[in-house]
Amino acid sequence: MNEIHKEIHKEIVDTEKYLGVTFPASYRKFLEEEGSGLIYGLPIYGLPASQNIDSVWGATEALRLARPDIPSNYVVVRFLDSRALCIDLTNNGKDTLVEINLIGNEQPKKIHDSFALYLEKGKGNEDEINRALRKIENLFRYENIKEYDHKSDPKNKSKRLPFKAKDWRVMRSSVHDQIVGLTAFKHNEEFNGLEVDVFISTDHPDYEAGHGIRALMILLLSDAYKNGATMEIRFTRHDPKKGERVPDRIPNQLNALLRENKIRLSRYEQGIITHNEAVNLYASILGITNELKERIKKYEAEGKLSLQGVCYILSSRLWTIEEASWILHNCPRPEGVLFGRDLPEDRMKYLESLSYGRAALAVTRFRNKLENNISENEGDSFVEIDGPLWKIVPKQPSEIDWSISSETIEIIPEEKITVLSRPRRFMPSENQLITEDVNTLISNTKDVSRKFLLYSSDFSKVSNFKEIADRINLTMSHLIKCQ
Amino acid sequence: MAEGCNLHLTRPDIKQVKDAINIGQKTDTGKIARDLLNTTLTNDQQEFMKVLRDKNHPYHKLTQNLLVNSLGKDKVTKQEENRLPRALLTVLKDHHNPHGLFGKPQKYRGPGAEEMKHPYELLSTAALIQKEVTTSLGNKLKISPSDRLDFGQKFAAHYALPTIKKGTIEADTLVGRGSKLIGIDAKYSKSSLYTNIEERQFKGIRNSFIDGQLQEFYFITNGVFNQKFKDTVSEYNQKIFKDWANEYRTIYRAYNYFSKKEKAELPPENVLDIDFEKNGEVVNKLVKKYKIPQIGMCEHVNYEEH
Repeated sequence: MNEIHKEIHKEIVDTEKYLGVTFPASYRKFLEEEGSGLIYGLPIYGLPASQNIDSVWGATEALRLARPDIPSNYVVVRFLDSRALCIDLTNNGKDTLVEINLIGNEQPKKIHDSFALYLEKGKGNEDEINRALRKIENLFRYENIKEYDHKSDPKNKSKRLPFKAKDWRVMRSSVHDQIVGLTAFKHNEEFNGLEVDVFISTDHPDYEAGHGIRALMILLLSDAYKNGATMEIRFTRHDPKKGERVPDRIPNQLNALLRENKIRLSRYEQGIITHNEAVNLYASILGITNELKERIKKYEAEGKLSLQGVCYILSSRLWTIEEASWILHNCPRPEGVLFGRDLPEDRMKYLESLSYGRAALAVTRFRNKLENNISENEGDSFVEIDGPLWKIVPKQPSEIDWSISSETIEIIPEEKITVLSRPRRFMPSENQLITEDVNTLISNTKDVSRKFLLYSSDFSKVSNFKEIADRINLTMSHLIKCQ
Repeated sequence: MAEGCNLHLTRPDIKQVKDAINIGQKTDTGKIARDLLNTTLTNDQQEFMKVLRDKNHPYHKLTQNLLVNSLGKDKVTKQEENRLPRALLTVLKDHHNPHGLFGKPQKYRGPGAEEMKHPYELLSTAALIQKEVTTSLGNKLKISPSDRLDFGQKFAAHYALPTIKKGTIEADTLVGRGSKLIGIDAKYSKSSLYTNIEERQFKGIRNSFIDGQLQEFYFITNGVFNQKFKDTVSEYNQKIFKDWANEYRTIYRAYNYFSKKEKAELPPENVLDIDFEKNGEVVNKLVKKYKIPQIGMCEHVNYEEH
C-alpha cells in the first residue's frame, strides 16, 4: 500500500469513526478508487473527509441536523433539490439506496437495490450515451445530413427542410421535458426498410420502467409504416476502416424489450428485425392481444386492413386499444370505422360507421367520467371487452349524471359495471329496439354487476322513451345517454 | 404509457445533452445549504438555536459551513464568517424564520426577489438588532423585536410593476414598523471604503418615495462611504425634496378652498426658491417638520460577538 492509499484509507476510517457507521464494501471500494464522482450526470459524495456538504461526512451530518427524526443509519451520497440520496445501513452489509425528503416528515423511500449496481448501471449508461452522441456528431460530419432548424421561418421556403424518407433524420423522444430516447434513421431503398444508426433510450423517473424504449420503438415503427415500405429494421454503423456502413448489433435495451414480448429474431446476428418480427413487436408494444391479432389477421387475409395499420392508428391515439378491440369484435365493417374509409356519398355505410364509432367513443367518455372525479384513490379503471359488453371496474368513487331520468347515480370503487353501448341501427319501432338491447344486456351478463345501457344523446329525442322503458319494466337509472 | 413528443435533434441540442450529462459539476451548493438550513429551522428552531449558541456543539462547525455556503464563500473576512452563527442567533431570537432568510421570499412587491445571498446582509441586520446607530440624517436606526423583517425584497423602480428583474430596486433588509416600511441596503467592502454608485438604484428609491412604496431608506456599510457616494445621496435627497415641494405647489392652486387648519399645515409656498446649498439648515428643519422622506447613510455597522 503506497502513501496515497494509506492516506485515503485513513480518511475513510476517520469518516466512519466520526459518523459512527461502517460503510458497505461497495461504497468503501468507490471511495478508495474514485473518492467522489458523477453518475447519471449527478454527483456522488465521498472524500475528502470534511464538514462541507459536498463530502459524505458533512452531508450525512447535515441530514441528521435537518431531519433529527430519521435514525442515524443513513449515509448521504447526494443532495438534489430538497431530497437526499442515502445508502441504508439498516441491513448489515447491504447497500440499498433510499431517498429522504428534507421537507416534511416522510419516511425513507427505497429507490434501488444496491449502490454497486446503481454505480455500474450508471457508468454503463454514460458510456452508451457518449457513444451515441459521438455517432450523431459523426453523422452530422460525414453523412452530410440535413439539419432541422427549430427557429426557421416557416414562410421562408429556402430555410424549410423537406425531410424525405431517404434522408438521415436524428430524432429525440421526450417525456415531460426530459429526453428519453435518441435515434438516427432513414429509409433505405436498397432493402426497402428502415436503417437505424443511433438507438439509445432511458426512462423518465415518474413513469413505468421501459417506457423510454417503447416510445422510441413506436417512433421507428410508425415511421416505417408511414414510408409505405416494409417494416424491416436494420441496425448499421459507419466503419471508418472500410469507409462504408456495416451491420451493427441489436442494442442491449432492445434485447430486453424483445425478451419481454417473447419475440425471437431470426437474423439476430446481422442486426436485422424482419418485417413480420417488427409487426409483431409493434403489436405487442401497443397491447394487442394474440386473440385480437388473429381477428385482425383474418381481416388482413380479406384485404380489408393490416396489423401494422391498426398499430399505427393506435400509436397515433386516434383510437384506444379498447375501442379498437370493441369495434373489431362488433362492427360489421371495422375498416370503415377505424380508418374512416366510408365516404358521405355512400350514405348508409357512412352513417353506420359513424354510429359504431360514436358508440365506442361513448364508452371512453363514460370511463373518463368514472376516472376523472378527484379522490385519494385516483387511477385508471379496469376494462375488459366481452363480446358487445364492456366490463369496467372503477378504482374511485364517482357520480354519473347522464341518466334519462336526470337522477344522479353513485358509483363505488371496485364495483363491477357492465355497459352495453348501442349504435343507432334500423328497427321497426323504438320499443323493439330498446327491448332487444335490454335482452342483449341481460342475456350476455352472467355475473352480478351493475348494468348500463349507453345511448348517444340523440336517443333522448325519442318522445315516448320513458313510456317504453316503463313498459318493458326497465329501471330508469340504468338507461343513460352520452352527453 | 407515458405520452411523449418526438422532435428533430439539432447540433445545439447535442451540446445541451452533453451539458445535462455533466450537470452535477455545476451543483449549486448554496441552494442545497439554504434548503438544509430552511428545513432545520422549520423542523426544530429551538434545537437549532442551541447549536448556534454552543460553539462546542458537534453541529456548530457544520452549521457555520452551511451558512458560509448559503451566503457565499470568501465574500467577507474569515473573522466575519466565524461570526455568522451568532449573528443568525441574534436575528432568530426575536424574529422566527423571516421571509427570504433561507427560503424564497414573496414576490408580490416586485419580481426577482431572492433569498439572502451575502454574509454582510445577515451581519448588518444582526448589528442593527444589537445596537442603535446614528444615521446621516441625524436620527437613530435600530431593529426592535416588534418590527417585521423580510429579506431580499424587490420594489418597482418605475411607475408600474415591472415584469422583468431589471426594472426593480432591492432592499436587502425590509423592516415593517406599523404602517411604515423601512428599506435597508447593505453595502460591503473588504477595504472598508465603499465606492460603487448605482444611479439606477437612486432613481428607483426616489420613485419608491413618490409612490409611497417605502417611507425610509438607508444605505449601511461596514466601513465608510466615499465622498462621491455621499454627494450622490445628497443630490438625490434634494431631488426628493423638490418632488415633495412640487407636489405642494400644485396643491396651492386650490389654496382658497382650504380651511384655516389645513392652510396652517401647508408648507411655505416659496420652498422651491430655497437655495439648497446655502440653506442646508432650513432644508433640514423642513424635512423634519413635514416628515419628508430622505435617503440616509450609516457607517461602521458591524456585528460584535460578545
